[in-house]
Amino acid sequence: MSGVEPRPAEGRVYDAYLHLLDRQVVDPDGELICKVDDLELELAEDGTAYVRAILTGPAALGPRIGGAPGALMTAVHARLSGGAGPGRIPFHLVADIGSAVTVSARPADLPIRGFEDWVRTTIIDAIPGASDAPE
Amino acid sequence: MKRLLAVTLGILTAIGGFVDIGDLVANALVGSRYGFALAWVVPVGVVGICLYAEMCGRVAAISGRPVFDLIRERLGPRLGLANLAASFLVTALTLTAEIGGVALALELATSVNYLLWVPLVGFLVWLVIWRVGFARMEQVFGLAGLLLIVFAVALWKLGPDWGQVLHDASHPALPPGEGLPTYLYYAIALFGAAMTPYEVFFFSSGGVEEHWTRRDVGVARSNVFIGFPLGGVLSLAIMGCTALVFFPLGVGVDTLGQVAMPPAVALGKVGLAIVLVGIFAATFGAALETGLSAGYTVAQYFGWQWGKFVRPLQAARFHGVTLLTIVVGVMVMLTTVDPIKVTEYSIVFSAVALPLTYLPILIVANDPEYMGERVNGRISNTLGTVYLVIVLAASLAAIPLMIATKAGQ
Amino acid sequence: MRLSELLGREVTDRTGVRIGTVIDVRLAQDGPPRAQGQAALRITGLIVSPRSSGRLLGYERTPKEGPWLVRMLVLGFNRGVRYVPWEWVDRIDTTPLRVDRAASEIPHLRDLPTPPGRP
Repeated sequence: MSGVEPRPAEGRVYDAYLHLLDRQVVDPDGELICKVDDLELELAEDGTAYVRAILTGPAALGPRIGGAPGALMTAVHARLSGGAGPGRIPFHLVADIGSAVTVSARPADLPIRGFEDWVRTTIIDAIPGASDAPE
Repeated sequence: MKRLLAVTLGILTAIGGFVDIGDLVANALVGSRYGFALAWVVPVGVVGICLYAEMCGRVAAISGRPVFDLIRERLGPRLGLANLAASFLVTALTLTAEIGGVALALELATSVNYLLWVPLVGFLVWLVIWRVGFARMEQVFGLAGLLLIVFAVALWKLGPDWGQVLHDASHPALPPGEGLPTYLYYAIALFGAAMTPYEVFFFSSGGVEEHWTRRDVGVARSNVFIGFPLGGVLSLAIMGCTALVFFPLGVGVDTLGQVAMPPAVALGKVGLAIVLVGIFAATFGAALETGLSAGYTVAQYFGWQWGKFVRPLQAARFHGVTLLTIVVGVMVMLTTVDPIKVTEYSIVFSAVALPLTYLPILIVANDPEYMGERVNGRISNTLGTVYLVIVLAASLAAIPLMIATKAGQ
Repeated sequence: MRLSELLGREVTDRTGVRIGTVIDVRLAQDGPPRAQGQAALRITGLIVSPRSSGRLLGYERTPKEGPWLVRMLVLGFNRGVRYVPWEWVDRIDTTPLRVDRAASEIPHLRDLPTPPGRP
């Protein structure tokens, strides 16, 4: 990559840690989906790097927390999920980046529901009234 | 009508937050031990919580994001997790104290031992969170908690020399036999009881539950500027009551029964009945708030769907956390630890944890990216910086003073 | 590769002089259009601080608003923060990251113009 002059930025500029990482991800109706726990990069042949996907879940958050708590989080998740990787939302689904990151897909369509589904089916479902609409 | 009902969010938060078991115990204890010498802490706490809650409410209305959601964004995942751990533990401890407080109130009313009430209270708290709508919850407990006005009535009925009262309050003096470290310890405890973190978690999350938009900034403000000062007045009334009844006798208050005594003394059986209902409503309301706040903090850090505004099935982890925290609170109470002691620890640790939540909010309320043109004005920022210093000082002094005075002995 | 693997990395110049730690990654929305027609986010550079701790609570450069005390703290904190264009990074699989320029050529963040699309 040496010798190449920096290409000036066109379009909106963001700082990953300041504007993207740890932001809430919502669907078009404002329903809460997950947090941006990390971002997946793709490296083109000419050295340019692009953001390819949002990564989420303990497998993505654990390494960022680091230390003993992070390692614990990653290990527990690996154990309980049978080695599944982090949840992934392809970045082309991102419609807007503001105080939250809006994604143009429904939560149910995204492959990131492991823990929520488990708690729901194991505990919450069993309690009467779980599917009642709020007053 | 909607405006009127919207104000009740603030009233519940204020009553439940400002006059929960922590405030009842702290103000009653301080009044019995120091008379009016610590009365100045209450207005300091009221201004602080008004300032802090106004910022949180404005942030929730403008950005649609509640407080804890933003803490991870501002502090990063590692510091945010540390913050979550501390805030959650303090909130869970406070929930445990509130459950104990409700059980004690029921014991006073029925003479049935409080331990027998604890599991039922836990179940009822969970049930109300599960089934009762947010708005209805606020209205019922907000209005019932207002019965605590009976303390103000009792104070007036006890007929103190108001000139003397004003003098004692504005010239704080250590009563004979009391040391300065203990005085400062109780000042911090009183401050912590007034500014507990869960109040703003609940207030800002509640604002999002109620779908506040920029037009509701006024509602948020009226909630804050009516509710919390009202809570402060009630706190001072509680302090005044024990200052008049117990302080002259040199008796320190350490049971809920003693807290409830002054209205009984001043107003007879009617006063007692009213105060018991009021204490029950205020502590039960606070238990609901802290239970929900325990769920809010964890869900908002991890990005899970939370809230009573969706079906429980859509917020399974949030409800799971709330349920688990209530169960643990009940189990802790059943170990027969003294509920009053638990309360005292919860308010001191609240004071320790306060800077963790306060500093990020001060930053966010100044960030035009979230707030547009509704960023903090000069008054909010000046007061905000002053309180930042106060809050930091209280936080740093709390544990050393607790150790030095053996928790206020 | 994950973006977080860039954060916290030590950065040296061509001769091995330490410049600092990566505290943020600047992105521009000007990559090739993606499936939904939106341009991809391209890494334009690294924000490197001589201190090893991360960004302080989200302020950058000279905050114009906010309590004076906090502004002073942040200004002090942001002193010495530099921006390394992505094209100047030699390789990313080395520890530390090496920039193929001398330290003196790497601009300070506060000397750069405000990027488009910022408040």
